[in-house]
Amino acid sequence: MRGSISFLTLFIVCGLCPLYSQASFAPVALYLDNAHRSGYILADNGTEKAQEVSIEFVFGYPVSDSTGKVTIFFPDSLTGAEPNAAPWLFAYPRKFRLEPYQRRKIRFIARPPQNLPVGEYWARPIITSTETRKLLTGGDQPRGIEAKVYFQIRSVLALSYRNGPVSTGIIIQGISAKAQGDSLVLLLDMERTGNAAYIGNAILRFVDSSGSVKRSITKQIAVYYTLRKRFDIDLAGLTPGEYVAEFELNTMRDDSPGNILQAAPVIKSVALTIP
Amino acid sequence: MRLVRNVLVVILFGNTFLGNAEATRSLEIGLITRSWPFTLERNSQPDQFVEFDREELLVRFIVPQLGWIDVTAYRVNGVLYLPLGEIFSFLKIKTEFALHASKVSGTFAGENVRFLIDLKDRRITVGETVREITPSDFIVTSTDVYLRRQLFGEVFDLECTFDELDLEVVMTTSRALPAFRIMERKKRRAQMLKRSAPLVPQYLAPRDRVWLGGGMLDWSVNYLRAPTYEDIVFTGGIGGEVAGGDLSAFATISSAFGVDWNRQPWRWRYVADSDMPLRQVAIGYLATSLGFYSGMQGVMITNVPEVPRKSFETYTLTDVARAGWEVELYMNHQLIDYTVVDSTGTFSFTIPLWYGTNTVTQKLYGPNGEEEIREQYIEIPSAQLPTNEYEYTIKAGILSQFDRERLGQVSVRWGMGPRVTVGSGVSILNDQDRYLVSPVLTTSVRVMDDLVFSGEYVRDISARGKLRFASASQFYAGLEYNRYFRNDVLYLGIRREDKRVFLGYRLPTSISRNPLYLNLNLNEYTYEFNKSLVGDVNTQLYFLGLRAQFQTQVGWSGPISGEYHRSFFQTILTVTTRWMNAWFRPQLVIDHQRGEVLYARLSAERYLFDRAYLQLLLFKDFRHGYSGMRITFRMDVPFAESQTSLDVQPSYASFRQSFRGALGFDTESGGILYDNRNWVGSSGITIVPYLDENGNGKHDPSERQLKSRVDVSRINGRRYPSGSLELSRFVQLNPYDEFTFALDPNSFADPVWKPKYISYQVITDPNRFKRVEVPVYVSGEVSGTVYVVRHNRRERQYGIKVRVLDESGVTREENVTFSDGSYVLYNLPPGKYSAALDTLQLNRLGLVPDSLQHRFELRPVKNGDVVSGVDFVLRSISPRVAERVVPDTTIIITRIPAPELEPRVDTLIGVTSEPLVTQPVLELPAIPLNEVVHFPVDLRRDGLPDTLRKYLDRVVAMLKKDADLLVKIHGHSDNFGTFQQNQERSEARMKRVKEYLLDKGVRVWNIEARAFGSRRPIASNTTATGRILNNRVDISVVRK
Repeated sequence: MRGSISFLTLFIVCGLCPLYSQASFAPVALYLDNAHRSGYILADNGTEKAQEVSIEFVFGYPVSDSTGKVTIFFPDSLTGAEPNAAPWLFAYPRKFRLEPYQRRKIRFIARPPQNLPVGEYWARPIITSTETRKLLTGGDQPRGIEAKVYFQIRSVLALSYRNGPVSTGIIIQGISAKAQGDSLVLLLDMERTGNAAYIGNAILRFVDSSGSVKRSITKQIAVYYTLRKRFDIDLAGLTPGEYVAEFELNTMRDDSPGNILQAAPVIKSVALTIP
Repeated sequence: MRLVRNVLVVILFGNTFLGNAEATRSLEIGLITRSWPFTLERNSQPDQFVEFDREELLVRFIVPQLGWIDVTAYRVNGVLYLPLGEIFSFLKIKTEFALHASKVSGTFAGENVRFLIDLKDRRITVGETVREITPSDFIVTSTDVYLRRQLFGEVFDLECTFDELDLEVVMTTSRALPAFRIMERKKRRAQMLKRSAPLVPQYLAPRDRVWLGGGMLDWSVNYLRAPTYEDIVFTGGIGGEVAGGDLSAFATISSAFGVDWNRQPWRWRYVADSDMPLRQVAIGYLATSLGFYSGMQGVMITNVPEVPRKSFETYTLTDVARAGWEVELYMNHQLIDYTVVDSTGTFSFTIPLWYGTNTVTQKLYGPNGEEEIREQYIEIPSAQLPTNEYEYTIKAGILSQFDRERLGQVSVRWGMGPRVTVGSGVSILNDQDRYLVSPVLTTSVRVMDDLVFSGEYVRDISARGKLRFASASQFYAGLEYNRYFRNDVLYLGIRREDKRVFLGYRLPTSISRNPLYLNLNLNEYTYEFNKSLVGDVNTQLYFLGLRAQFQTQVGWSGPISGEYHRSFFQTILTVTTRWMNAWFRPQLVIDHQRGEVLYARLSAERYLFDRAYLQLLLFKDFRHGYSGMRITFRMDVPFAESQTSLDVQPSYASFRQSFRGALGFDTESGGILYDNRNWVGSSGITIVPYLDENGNGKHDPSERQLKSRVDVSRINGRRYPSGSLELSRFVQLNPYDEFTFALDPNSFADPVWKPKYISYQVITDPNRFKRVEVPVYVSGEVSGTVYVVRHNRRERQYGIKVRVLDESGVTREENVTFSDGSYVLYNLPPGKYSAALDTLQLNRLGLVPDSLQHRFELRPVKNGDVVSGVDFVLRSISPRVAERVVPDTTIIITRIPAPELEPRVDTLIGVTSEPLVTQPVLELPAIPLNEVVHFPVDLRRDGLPDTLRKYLDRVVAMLKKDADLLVKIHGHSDNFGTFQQNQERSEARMKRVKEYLLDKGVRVWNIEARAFGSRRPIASNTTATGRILNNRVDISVVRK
């Protein structure tokens, strides 16, 4: 019982503390190229406690499993053939203290090797922030036995470096569907073309035989190699009959419009019957 | 439930029950030295006391965004009571206790909401809201009123959430509490002071003289076509530097009139460096003064600064206010300083005064949110000189106009004091064989800060006087008198005398929060044969987005020796409004004598495409029966400004076309620059940051130019569009002036590129572009880890200061180790350095480093050198041996004469290069454990009393022998000030003792320090002796 209570307390504390004790970083995606080798993000400590912030670069990209769940994959070992920008990316400063309510820039610079082949290179800036411990003054007075839990928050951002002409495109490899309870699960398999990641939207329109859109789902996608994306359609209220699931993939993202590589929209549809 | 007497301070000794107030009072003195138990009272039946189940808690009271305070709270039968006085004092809510009357009152300043807690009638009133309370809602002690926690939220909108586990109360509120406003004000003040702080240049670029250089060229072409007239006028001007002086010359050629060689002005001027008795020598076209409306061709020498004076003198403003209030000082609505009123109630500022109107505003803030504003005007006329400064001018030449008479002028001005400047001189005019010698007297007196008199007398030419008053309430008034004399040498026109009275006032009313202004003028002009008197009333008001101006004029005229008769009485009504991004200004002139409209006019104007401007003007003159229109179109292109205008009237039409522009030769940066404004007589600056790869401070041909954002603190010119060049250029600057700029060190493309100097001050060169090269270095970094050896194991240590010193011992960067014990220091130019720890900090922590400093070198490499692994290892000093570890440049010698029982300690602090001196401390006689000793401490005196220091030295000796002892320091104060002030004074006493012990090497974990404000008196606060006893610290040594 005691163990359960302790675990519960820890769970509550762990769950709540980060909500008000972390710094935030924006934007969450950064694009550099050989004409603009440096950029910055803003670190904002909205808390009343100083934060320690450190930055490291890791090669990683989003992948999906067979159910369409997307995670960031960080390879354990690299062959050297990956478009890995992490070794030649630098953050400045790479470790610093962010005072309460302070905001400052973290500058990123790319120092790519000479004769870098044309293409897009990726890295994940991982920003770790934790509440800082204060300067030891010798005047600190312990109030009996004290213990404090320090939470470490890791923010994983995206960074792309484009060297020379880059392009992107996407192919829908397949669409599969299966009923799951009151839902219809559609899995969209995509493969990127060109030499750069495909950052865009996947829009599903579920259309009945009269042409009216019964369901519409929009999801943001980032296809670095291949990706499977899952769409759940609530079947409640849909009459049995013939339907068409139409997928549209486009690059019209409004979160970073100037940096998204544009590609022609791709539309593919499948016919479905709801018994 | 047993009941106790209503509203009474009751202090019990231990659990002793007391039956009357006399006994209570007598006991107050006796029990203080031992402990502080007391009981709580509530209920209303007299003469019965009860001690409830109570628990005293030290609770942390937290206000998000504001901070926290530890308060003493009580828990009675599970209900938490919080101290109203302490909390309101922390929140800066003005509170007055009248416990004898069972009342607590106060104000939420800013919201202007009053509250009253009437404990006798069991009622709390906040604004208009009344809340009945019960005896279980409050507790009264000798020093405070404790309210049930929930009442703070229910009555005052101060929601208090209690966390029993952490003993924390978190307060949230929607009220704009004074404490919040004070905090926001502090933040705003810090930002404003930072913004208004003058940019201190790190690099000075002096005036650069050349024999022949620079080159700026102005040009203009004007074409006029009228029914009977056509002309094309070409004007050209050249500017350059010749023999270290500036040369400017202009020429005008007219197709209709040819060239008038008498009207082709030129001037060469040599300007010496500052503070020379001879500042300027000029030859060519010169301006004249002392009443001549003409320039002259001649020679001038003077010590008048070439750049008009901007600052006058400093002025000490002294004022009074309540002690402890904060005062912000604004000059011309910009915050420049801040102070706190001292205990005598006075404060002072040293203010820089500028020529012109100085609006000095003091904003005073009380400790509970009170605000007061004081404003004053200080007028510094341009004719005034700083005290004991003088200016002279000698010039001679031929007047350009009139009949080319010869003129010689000598004038001297002297600043007699901060309010009076006097001047004199002589003017000699010669026309053939006639001479006019005119002595000159001038003065400028600041009768009061806002009342200024200026006068000038030139015999046989003119006399002038002006008295002007301007107040902070936007009221101004003045008198002006001009007299023109006749002489036999020079005809100066038909004017004989001007008299003027003027008055302006901002009316104490407004329309839709827009102010109303009223101006009155009365002018009398006397000419050779006639005179006129004109009075006008001018009012401006704003409403519905319109600005309306009414000007009513009445004029009288008459012969010089006759009577006045009214000549006109009219009102000019002008309305200005904006619609569709265009400004419309209809105007009517109404003649009141005839009751008709004399004149009507409508103008419409707007900007087009950012670079063009169009104005259309229609008018009709009803009296003379004609009407007309004018179209004006102006367009700016990068190399020229073009203006076209067409005037059309029934019997007349004219067309004008003009172009103007400038060319500049940037000889140092290369290339020809162009502009649509005039450049001759001004200066330019070209800022060239470059990557100083070899660190020689010179821009070598192989070193690349960089681009950076340049911030200019104050500019009298404008930024020139740099185009594709990675340069910052500024044009139309005042020549010989100081130009201050700063580079944004984070604006370079590579974050490791850092400018050697961030801020620059450049003296501009006339008629030239000055090239300022800004070296940028590739910065490096050093990193390492600080370890502490504990139990023979290395552990990473956070919170340790690390600094990097250059070869001259100057700290270049410093930081504090992170939670993993690591540190990184950036922005270091290539060079040799040493990394060092803060020995004072280590001393306090009882740590010694393996090495005081590590040396390293950063080389100039392309992407910045990185030195890592500069680690420090710290060891703990044995607690049994007292040692001093001090910075290597400071030594503290402790001498203890052996024969004396009581130690005598002399402390000598000096600078030396000798090694550290450490000495063991002799054993001292111990003091009894658990003995509480009171020591009065006077905060007005520095340090601690001798008796206390000696006692503490004994405590130090005990603690160093036995690490399991604990010294308790309790600070107290009398009840002279407010709750917060008393608390702060008791803390100050406590801290003095604590600091003393820490300085003596006592570990922090051997100290318990608390402050109690005025809550634990040991004597009556009504006598001087009692207050001295209460202003004390209590020291006791106990075993942990």
